[in-house]
Amino acid sequence: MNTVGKVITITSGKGGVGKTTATANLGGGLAQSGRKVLLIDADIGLRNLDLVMGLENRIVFDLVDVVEGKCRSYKQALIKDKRFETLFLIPASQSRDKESVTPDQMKELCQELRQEFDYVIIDCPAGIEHGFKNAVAGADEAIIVTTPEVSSVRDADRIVGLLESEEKTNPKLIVNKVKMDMVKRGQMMTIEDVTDILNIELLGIVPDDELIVVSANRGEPAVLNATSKAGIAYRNIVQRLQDPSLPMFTENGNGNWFGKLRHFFSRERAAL
Amino acid sequence: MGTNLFMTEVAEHIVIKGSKEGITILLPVENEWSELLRELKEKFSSSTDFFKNANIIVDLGTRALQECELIGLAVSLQEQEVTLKGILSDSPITKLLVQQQNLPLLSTGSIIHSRSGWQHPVRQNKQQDKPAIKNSRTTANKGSEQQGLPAGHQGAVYFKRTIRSGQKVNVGGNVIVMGDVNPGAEIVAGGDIIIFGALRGIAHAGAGGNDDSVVTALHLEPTQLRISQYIARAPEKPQGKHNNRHATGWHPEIARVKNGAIYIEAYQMMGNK
Repeated sequence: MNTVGKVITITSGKGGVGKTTATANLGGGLAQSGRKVLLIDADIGLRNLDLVMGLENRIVFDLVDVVEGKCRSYKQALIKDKRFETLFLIPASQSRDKESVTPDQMKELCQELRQEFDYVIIDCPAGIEHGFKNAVAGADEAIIVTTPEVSSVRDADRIVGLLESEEKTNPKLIVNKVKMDMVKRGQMMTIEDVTDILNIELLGIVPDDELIVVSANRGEPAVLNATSKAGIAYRNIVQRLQDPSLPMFTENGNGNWFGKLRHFFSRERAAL
Repeated sequence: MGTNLFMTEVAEHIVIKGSKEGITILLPVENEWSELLRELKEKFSSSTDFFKNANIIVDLGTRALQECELIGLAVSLQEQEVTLKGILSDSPITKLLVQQQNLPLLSTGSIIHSRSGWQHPVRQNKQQDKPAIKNSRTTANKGSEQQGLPAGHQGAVYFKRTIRSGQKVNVGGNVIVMGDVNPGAEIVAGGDIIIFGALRGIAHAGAGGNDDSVVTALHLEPTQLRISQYIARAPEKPQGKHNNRHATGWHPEIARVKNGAIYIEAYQMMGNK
């Protein structure tokens, strides 16, 4: 690939909605399709991405070492994934904190990385402070992860506003941990309730799946699993990331999930 | 007064603040203009050296000036031979006048985020009481002069986007939003607020004390509604139900003050002010 790569940051505002899971799965999915992908954990001090990928015991250098120049170049800090030839990780530091890296350093690093990788995916920490600013500084695009709950939607809206002021316009949305039976009972926000407020392009919907817990503990991203609903959803998102015209993985009224072309302004509430 | 440019001084009413950009002179909205000009002249004559070589910024806040008043200010500044770097204003009327007089106009840059520390106190904030609940009036002084816009004032600041959570719009005149105002967002206007979308955040119209100001939206569901010194709280939502406008359709409504309370009614063309 001779073209310059894309830097995408996965952010949310709210913690625990699925940013790290999304990073791991999008990375795995893109690598599965043959792309050269680098994942960066920007959650300095509370690193998780390495755990979820199962690469914790291979860490020698981390992101802070790279920006501080402790290693000769970022290449020394790269950890190659166990399963995919073209998937790499730069982990965060566990002993430092988010002030150890500046937005300018991130911008510079991303500039270098764009030349080497098709996709650089940055796992943004929760919050809107220094860690967020670091993660967003070098990004070309942003993907916002939210769950269908009032608090995470409210926080996501704040993030959209902040991204707009950083001139990262046109963020995309992933709605995670969707429980269709609760939605049908009127106990959970519908996807439209969410997009009503956030009003940004919907990239995909990921159903709540127990397998995610299992896969995190095992260090095997769900995207590798053929039958997991979340895995299927992430694979669909990976495809739509590369080609937005593809149908979105969604559920019809009978509990069957399938790919169906959904227009953003669709009024077909029966489909969800 | 020494040459320490980082001192903040309060001379009776005008507030002078030094920074590396220069000297900002704040002329508070609630004071009489002639009084402020007099103080300004006194300040200039008593400390000519201080002002002489500095860049002066005059902050007028939400004050709507008249042409003669602005000219008076310009003349004052010229007489003192100060370098006017620019005028800051939140009022569309004043901004227009400043440009017509060929005076330098600085963009506030903070139309979206309020200028902390320079926030012109709205009547009820001065009392620092807790906002009353439901349709109550705060204990603000009723006898004080009316600030805010004359009735039927033309012109507005226009936003062609959704105002997001955490964003605050602070404008002296009217506000029009083509988009939503999300929960956690706040619009404060000296005049009317018109939302061509869903109002789900906080809207405060007539913030300078104009009881005739209105708030209208295609979907009126604010967390709190304020007009002049009146505050109304949204009724408690039925548990768990999110009011989706796609389900209910647009129901334009208008909120105004009547008989000492905020009333909301369906918006009709006829009979509106």
